[in-house]
Amino acid sequence: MERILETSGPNRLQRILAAFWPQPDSGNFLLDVFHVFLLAAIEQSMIPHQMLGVFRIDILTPWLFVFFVFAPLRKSLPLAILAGLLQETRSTAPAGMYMSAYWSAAVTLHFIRHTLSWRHVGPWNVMLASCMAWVISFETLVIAVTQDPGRLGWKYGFSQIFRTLIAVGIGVFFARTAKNSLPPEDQVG
Amino acid sequence: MTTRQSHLQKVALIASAVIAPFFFLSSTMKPWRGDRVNAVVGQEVIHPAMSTWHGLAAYLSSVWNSYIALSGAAEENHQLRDKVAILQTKLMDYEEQVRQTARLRQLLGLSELQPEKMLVAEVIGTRVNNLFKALRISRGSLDGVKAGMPVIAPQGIVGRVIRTGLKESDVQLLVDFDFNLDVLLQRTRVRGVLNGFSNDLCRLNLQKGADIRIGDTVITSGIVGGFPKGLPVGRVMRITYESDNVSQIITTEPWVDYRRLEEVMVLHQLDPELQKIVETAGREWLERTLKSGNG
Repeated sequence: MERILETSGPNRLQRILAAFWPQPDSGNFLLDVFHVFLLAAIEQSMIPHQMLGVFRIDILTPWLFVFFVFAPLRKSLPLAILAGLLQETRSTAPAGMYMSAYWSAAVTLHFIRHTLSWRHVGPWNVMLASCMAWVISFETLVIAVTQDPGRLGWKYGFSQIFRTLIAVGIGVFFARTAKNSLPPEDQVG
Repeated sequence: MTTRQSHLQKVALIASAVIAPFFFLSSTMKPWRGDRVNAVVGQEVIHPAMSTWHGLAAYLSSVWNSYIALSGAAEENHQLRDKVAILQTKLMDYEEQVRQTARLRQLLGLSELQPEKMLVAEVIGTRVNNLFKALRISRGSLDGVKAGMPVIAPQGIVGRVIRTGLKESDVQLLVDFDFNLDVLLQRTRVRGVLNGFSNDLCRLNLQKGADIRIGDTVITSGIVGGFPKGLPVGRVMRITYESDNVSQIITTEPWVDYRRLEEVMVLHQLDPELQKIVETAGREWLERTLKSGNG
């Protein structure tokens, strides 16, 4: 009976979805690379660029931050470069802007990740908010240098706060899916 | 690994994290240009997913508009019939004007835009609300699109091809901050350089004495940039004077609404100035420059 259930349609679909679900640090680097492309494609083609005319939704950036926490540097740094390239080749953002921001975030998270624990969700929120703040600050600095600083008004400020909050929520969601894939003893502690 | 090596590795990593932003800020801070490595990574791999999504969204949208959202269609049809009757009368007049313009152009020695030198492309993605404005079109290097080619719409200038993939290209929009275009004021023939500005507007710096009015039309000068002369760019929206009392800033609203664009035309016409440089310095120089991001 169990065997019939396992091979039935819905279960098979669940297994396929589980295999392609963008879980940060899936254990297979090629699958992680595929996830980066998948998330970039979703972010760039399906998600509206400005929700309610106010804020932008990032899914790749929070996913990357969670990935940087879980994965070793030999995986994090190439993925940081790849994700940066994907972000930059989709707009007229200056070449290297996201790459350098992601690189710095990957290295920083590598050194502080041992302080994060599943016991408290607070540090995860702070970590994600700080990382988003870093990327947004860097973007803002580049805009101030290369473009018109006058556009950095209160509306811009509020939209970036919304953007950060949404990204924290998405990041925590991705972190929880990664957590659920760990053995129970690791989840406790 | 020894403790010393581990320590050195840590220092190197921390140094790289600190230096990376400064390294970037010391660069030219120009977007990726050209048609090779980054296009392959950034466009070709994502292309199947994006085109599938775009096709599905377009299909659903057409089904909705054609079969479901038909309330008020009869009334609209009636109004449209009246409009068609008026427009047919106007069209006859315009046809005569077009013939007259063609004759005058011929007399002046100006070349017309030839349809065979245009390539119609579908807009398959936009980043208009982003801080760095670009859109993606459904034609690439396989169709003969090259970086630097002008992109227009029936309403006016859209932008310029900045990167090309095999089957798609990225277009830097007129309203992007990094975009410059040589323009003329249609009424007074005053010339200036227009560049992108915030909130989907453009800006033009002119001398204080230049004769300009709100509502004036801005057209391409055809001198540099590869755009034919006389294409509509936008209309003057606001005029402000600089504190130096020497220049005035003209805020221009583009004719093209980038959010509603569905099709664009790529002109098979590169910047004539650039062509002259290529003839002198060689094609390899241009490709090197485009790849290095200075083009």
